[in-house]
Amino acid sequence: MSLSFEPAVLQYLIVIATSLTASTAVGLKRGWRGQLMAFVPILALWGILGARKESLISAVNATYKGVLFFASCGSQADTETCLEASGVANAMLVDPGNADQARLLLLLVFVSAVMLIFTLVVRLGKPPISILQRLMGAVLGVANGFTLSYLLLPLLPYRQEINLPVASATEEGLPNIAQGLPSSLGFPHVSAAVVVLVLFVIFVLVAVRLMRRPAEV
Amino acid sequence: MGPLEVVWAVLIGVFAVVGVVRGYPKELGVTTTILAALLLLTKGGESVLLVLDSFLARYAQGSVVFEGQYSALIQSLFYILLFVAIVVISYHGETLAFAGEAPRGPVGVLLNLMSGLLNGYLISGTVWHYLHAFNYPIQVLGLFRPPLTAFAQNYLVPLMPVALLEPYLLFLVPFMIVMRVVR
Repeated sequence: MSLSFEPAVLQYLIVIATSLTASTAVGLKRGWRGQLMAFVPILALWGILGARKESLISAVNATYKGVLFFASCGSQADTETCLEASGVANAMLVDPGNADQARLLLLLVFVSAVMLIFTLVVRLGKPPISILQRLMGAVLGVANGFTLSYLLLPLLPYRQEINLPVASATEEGLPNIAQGLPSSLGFPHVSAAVVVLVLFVIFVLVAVRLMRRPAEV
Repeated sequence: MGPLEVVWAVLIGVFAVVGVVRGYPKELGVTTTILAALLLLTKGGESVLLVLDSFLARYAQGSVVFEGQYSALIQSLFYILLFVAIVVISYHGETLAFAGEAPRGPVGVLLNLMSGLLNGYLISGTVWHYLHAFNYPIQVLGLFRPPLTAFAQNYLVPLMPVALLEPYLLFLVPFMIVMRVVR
């Protein structure tokens, strides 16, 4: 696959480089445990955003209306008339019917949340006790960086110009990115995948934690 | 339930029993191998088929793997047999088994059962995926008649592990290896 440096490809390269760098840095700083602490919530958040996209847009628009109302009519005695006259009642920041706006909102929320999670893990996580743990964290960080760029790709504005299967998802919004994946997947698969993934990771962590050491002879 | 679902459910049940008998430390080793096999098949399976096809094309006149009446069957069997071979080898060896023993009592039994169910889901789901992806070429052999039941179409096909987990294999395989090493 040959890639020329057009805005779409440049955008994707920036996403990959940033994801890899950030994720590997967290892995080196906080070891493999820190990586897990970061990535399980990231994946869970991605699934929740996909499942609750409409609720998020409604909440953002409601907040926007509230701020507008306060700014326009907060000092007015007759708020009802002010509400109609100022057009606050019909104001919206994100048009639910506009796929690009919805995608941009999801991108902003997701990226902000990922940055917050990485920051919290670095600030509050325990430092690894050995070089081996740091190196394992870095290895896991590289893998997670790729996964993170994979999750971000369908939200990018120029995604359809990037010659990769997942980028050519044509349906609106996060739940439909699965159309770009090899099998024909729809919204339920995206959320089911995250649920299966989170349950799997939790099961393995608990199982390993409860394992008894082999009896010494 | 249709016959395919019955076979799928029976396989999962068999692997659940195997999990209870072997214990989950060994089963997690098999899980690691299965995930690595899925990564190999999804990322490199087609490349291997291309190499195989170009080799065989020297002796046959034209493409053997990608064209012809039995191309879907050949491709499907390639993926399934390669995957089954890797699974059989992983069940025979102990290289990737996690070092440790299951806790005593019902918690250990439950974890053993869950790990067996997990492996059963991964194995039987993968085999079903590679039949589904090539539109059930076993019809040629008279082993299946479409269509799938509504239950399979709506609830089981969407939960096939290959389609669900493929984007996350680059995370899952290192994760399992790290858990094995740390253990």
